[in-house]
Amino acid sequence: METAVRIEGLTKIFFKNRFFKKAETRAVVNLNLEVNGGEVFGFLGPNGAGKSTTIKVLMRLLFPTAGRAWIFDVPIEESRARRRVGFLPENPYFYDYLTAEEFLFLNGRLFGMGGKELKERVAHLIEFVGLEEHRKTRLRKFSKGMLQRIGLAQALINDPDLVILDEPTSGLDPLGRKMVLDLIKKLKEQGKTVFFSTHILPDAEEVCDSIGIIINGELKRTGKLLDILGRTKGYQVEFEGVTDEKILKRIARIAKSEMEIRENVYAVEASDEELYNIVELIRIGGGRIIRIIPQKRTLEDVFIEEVSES
Amino acid sequence: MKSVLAIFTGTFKEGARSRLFWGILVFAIVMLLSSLVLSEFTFAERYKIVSDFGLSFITFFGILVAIFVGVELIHRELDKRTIYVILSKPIERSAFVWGRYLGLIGVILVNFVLMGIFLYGMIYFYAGEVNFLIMLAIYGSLLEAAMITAFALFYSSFTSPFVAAFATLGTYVICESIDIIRASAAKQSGIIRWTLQAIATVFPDMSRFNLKTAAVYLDKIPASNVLFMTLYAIGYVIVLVVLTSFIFDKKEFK
Repeated sequence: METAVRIEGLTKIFFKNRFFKKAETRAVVNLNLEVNGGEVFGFLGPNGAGKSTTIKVLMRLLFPTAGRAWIFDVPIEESRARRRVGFLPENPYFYDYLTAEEFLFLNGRLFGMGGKELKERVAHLIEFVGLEEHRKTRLRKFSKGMLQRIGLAQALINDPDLVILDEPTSGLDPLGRKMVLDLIKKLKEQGKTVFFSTHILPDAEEVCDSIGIIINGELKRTGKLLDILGRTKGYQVEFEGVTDEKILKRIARIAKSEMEIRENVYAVEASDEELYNIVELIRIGGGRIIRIIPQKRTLEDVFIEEVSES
Repeated sequence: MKSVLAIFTGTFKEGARSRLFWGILVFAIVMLLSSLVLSEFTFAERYKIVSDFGLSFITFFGILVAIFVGVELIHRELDKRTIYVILSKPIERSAFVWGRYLGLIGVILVNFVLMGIFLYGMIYFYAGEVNFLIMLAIYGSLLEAAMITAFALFYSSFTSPFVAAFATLGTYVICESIDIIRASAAKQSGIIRWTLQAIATVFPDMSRFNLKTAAVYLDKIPASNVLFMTLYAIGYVIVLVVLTSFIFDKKEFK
């Protein structure tokens, strides 16, 4: 499988004074990352973690202090590295006095497109993002959601193999968010690679194959989402019929949470290690297990773990 | 080349539709009309008054468009980060700078053409005569504006819009005063003389482009003069745009 993005030892430091190399912010520190072709990769982190900086380095809007990066094995220093890439920046803002159609034509021409091919592509994308009625409207009259749509359209103008989206769902209403997430899913179905940054974790959980968590410029964790979430964080055990107070107290002592009682049904949370002991105590107490529910970790749990450790 | 053309088209449309451009143009036309009023209160020939004031207004407002539309377009590009989308495409940054510059020149050209047509109409209507020299004088002012735009682009590439506008305006004043600076240098000595001479050498002498007097007094303008000032302006523009491209090539966009 082709590697869509490869980053090796990327460091970006913003200097207060470039000549005296007086450090201001270490935005990204020794970042190593690989994104495989055809996958949806979520680049997660709190605000100011270094997500946008990394993306800007990939897009050559910023230059790395150290390290290197490749897009489809082409060094990012070469402009041809961006030939197969579509990019949507965070909070996009485009030319006020151009119409939606003119803006897409401009972007297409920057990829060397033209003629019938570009005309058809523009018409298709305007329809794809649902802006048929606004194709002749100047962008200054567009709402934030509409700007995001036209931004997505321009990111797809060259039918890219890699789509890089910087916080694409940030600040959108639920409908706008759904549109963006559906689009990411469609791109995945088409075999495209999507690299997107977000701090909205449910969005990432919905669409990502792989994730990377960056905190304070350091990549804390990366891997397949299923592998990261795959481990349970424990179980909820519901049981009834245990009357022995001593046994109930022992269960409560080893459980992860306070014991809840509702209509004579007890519920406790058990860790992986203590599950067997709790089940054994219920059996000794003459009780009956109603159900054991595995407690799956969410991306939020993983994220909070990483943030707490940092 | 395709990318330069694409950026040129975008810049031209953006600039020619901007409120600032139309605001300055409308004001310029009002001022051109005022030259008719002025001509009512003078004893000089109407042709001379109308063309003299008209050409001065065209130069003034042409330079104004060059400074403010030029600085504003670049500033807006950086401030609103529209540049992210353009520079993330597989293009060289020099293509962006050239496209931007040529687009701005397109806007300025439209400004000069509209003002020129208006002035021609005015002169013909009120003085009953019009000549080719007026067009050459407007062409001279257009070349001045082209150079000032290149300076505006250059300053905008590394300073704030306010500083860029101020620096461009200052440059224009210097360029219009090269003769005075040279004369002052001759009277000075040491570092002051050296500095003044350096200024007079580095900055273009805009007086070479001033064909207004010749046009108003119907003097001959040799073709070699027109060719020389064209090449002189193109030379300066190339140097400034190449320098701007060099700065843009090293520029980071946070």
